[in-house]
Amino acid sequence: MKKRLFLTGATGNLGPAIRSAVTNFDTTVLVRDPSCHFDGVTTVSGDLSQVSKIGPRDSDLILHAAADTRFAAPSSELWRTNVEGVREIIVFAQSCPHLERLVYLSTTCVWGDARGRVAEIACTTRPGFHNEYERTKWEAERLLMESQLPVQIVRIPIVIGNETDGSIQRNGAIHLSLKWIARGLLSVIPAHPDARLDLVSVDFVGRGLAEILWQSDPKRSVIHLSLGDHAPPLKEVLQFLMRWIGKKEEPNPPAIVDLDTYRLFKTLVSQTGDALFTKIYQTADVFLSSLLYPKVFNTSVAESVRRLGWRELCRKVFEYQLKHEY
Amino acid sequence: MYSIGIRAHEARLGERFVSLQDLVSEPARFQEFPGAWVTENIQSLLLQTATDVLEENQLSGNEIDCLFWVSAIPENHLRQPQTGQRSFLSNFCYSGSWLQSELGLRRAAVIGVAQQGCAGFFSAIRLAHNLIAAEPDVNHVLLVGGDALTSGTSREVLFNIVSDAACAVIVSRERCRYRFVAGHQIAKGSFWDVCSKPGEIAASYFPSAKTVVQMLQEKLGDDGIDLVISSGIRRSSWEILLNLWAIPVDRCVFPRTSFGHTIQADSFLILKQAEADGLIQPGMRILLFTFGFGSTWSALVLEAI
Repeated sequence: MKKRLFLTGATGNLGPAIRSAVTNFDTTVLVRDPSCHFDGVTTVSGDLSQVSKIGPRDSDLILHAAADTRFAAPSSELWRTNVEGVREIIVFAQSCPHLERLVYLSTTCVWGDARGRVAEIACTTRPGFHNEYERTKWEAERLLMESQLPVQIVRIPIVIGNETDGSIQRNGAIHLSLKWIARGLLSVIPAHPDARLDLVSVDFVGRGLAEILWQSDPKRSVIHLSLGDHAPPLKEVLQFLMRWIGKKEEPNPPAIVDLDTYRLFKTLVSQTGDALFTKIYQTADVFLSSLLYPKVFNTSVAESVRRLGWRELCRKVFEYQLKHEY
Repeated sequence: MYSIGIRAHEARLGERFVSLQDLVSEPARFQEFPGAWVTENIQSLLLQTATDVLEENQLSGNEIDCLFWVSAIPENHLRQPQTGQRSFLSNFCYSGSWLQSELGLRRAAVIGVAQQGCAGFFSAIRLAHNLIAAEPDVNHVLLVGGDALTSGTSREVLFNIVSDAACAVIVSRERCRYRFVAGHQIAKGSFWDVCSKPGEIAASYFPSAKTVVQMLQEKLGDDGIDLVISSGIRRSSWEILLNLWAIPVDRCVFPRTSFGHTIQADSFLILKQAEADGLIQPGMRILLFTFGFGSTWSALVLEAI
């Protein structure tokens, strides 16, 4: 008999990959749109605030992947989805008598301004955050860790696109940053010289989740589904992007600068009042500034998950973005 | 070792000061600029500046082997014909030739330096140095450069205020105050259409500035920079540049009173100030940097003698 799984977040950026990861379960999916249906799964319509009332209590597993991933979204909206949503999931999980595991899809961003090698452990000390998204995801992890439930946290890094054609359902801060770089409009990137870009595909996350749901040791409470030691240095990704852009036009690589220089630059942008650069550096503030704090995430389960090389993945993403977005 | 370098230099701002309130619609965005210095006749200002530099150095017109006329604005390479009538031939009424005649530089070859934007004067210094190094008969090159915006033109350019000014430099084989050590230039032809790519050009400013000075520093080897002569652009831009070049801000000379950006003369107005303040010591390596639309990033290193 198949295990019963309750899934949230099946319609978001990672939707297709997550749905493919749960094909061997008897799955019920939370959807906001009542007309939304997927083959092989049961749907229940409602939003996160209603889960404790409408979720199937006979669930053996819960995979909570729904989140508001907009770095620059209003704090109240991020808080409602990412923190209050998890609070509701906890209430629901506590009402499921057969629950074996609550798998929570989180982000490596919860480590904020921490530096260095990061173990697969709870982030118990609150770091400094670059944006409200990071803060709400950290808060959600804290609630889960304190819940006494059989929680497993799966942290993913930047999801850049799929492996087929490089597309993604909704562009994020990374895509916006790449667009500014490709158009030669990003002058400086605030980053540590050792910064890496931990970039994964939608498919990698799907394969990883499938393995975690089926094969991983449930006793491991935190998993980094990321490239870890395989993550390329930021400089290499930039060089690759510049070479790729250089096939069509003269590239204008941004300068990698330290925090002091970046602050001076922002002061200059503020003095000039230039609308374009103000907009560009609002993006940089909420996303790129995290590169000032280089990290390498320890990985366990992720080591056995098949992954596309970062160059091949980036090439597909750049090609897709150039064709459809830039 | 070559001792070719700058023997003398002179620079003058436009004669008339116009306050910021009378220049731009949003003065608050340009608070560090009191206003702009304006001239009604840039060619007269250039003649005056060139005359000064020759007289102060007791060089006669006959001793100048070559004259470089430097200007970013194409119209400034021509003079109105005395007939006052425009014709095909008026395209050849060159300002450089007029200046040669006015200064009595009878032996001098005349060369125009153009299409470098605000980097024209730096290119002229490199060219003059290389000309003297290559031709044993050439001992003195007079460089005269400057630009003025025509009446009604906005003086707000790339987040800065532009003043009018003239500059004259003598590059010589001997008796130099500054030895030419090295120069480097990056030209990005893809930015030729300045009107359609202002954002891209502005974004490229700092990364390219970092690269041009890094490449110059590679030419210099281990010898560091003792002093940086800034320019008339925003001070905050210079603080970023210094950080990018890893040069402490206290090694940079800033203008005592901001005069805005003059297209050719910034570095020499501030070099003059540094000399007057006793900041230049023999053996010092001095970095000069500029950017010119077109687009060119240019840097020079001089050694005080």
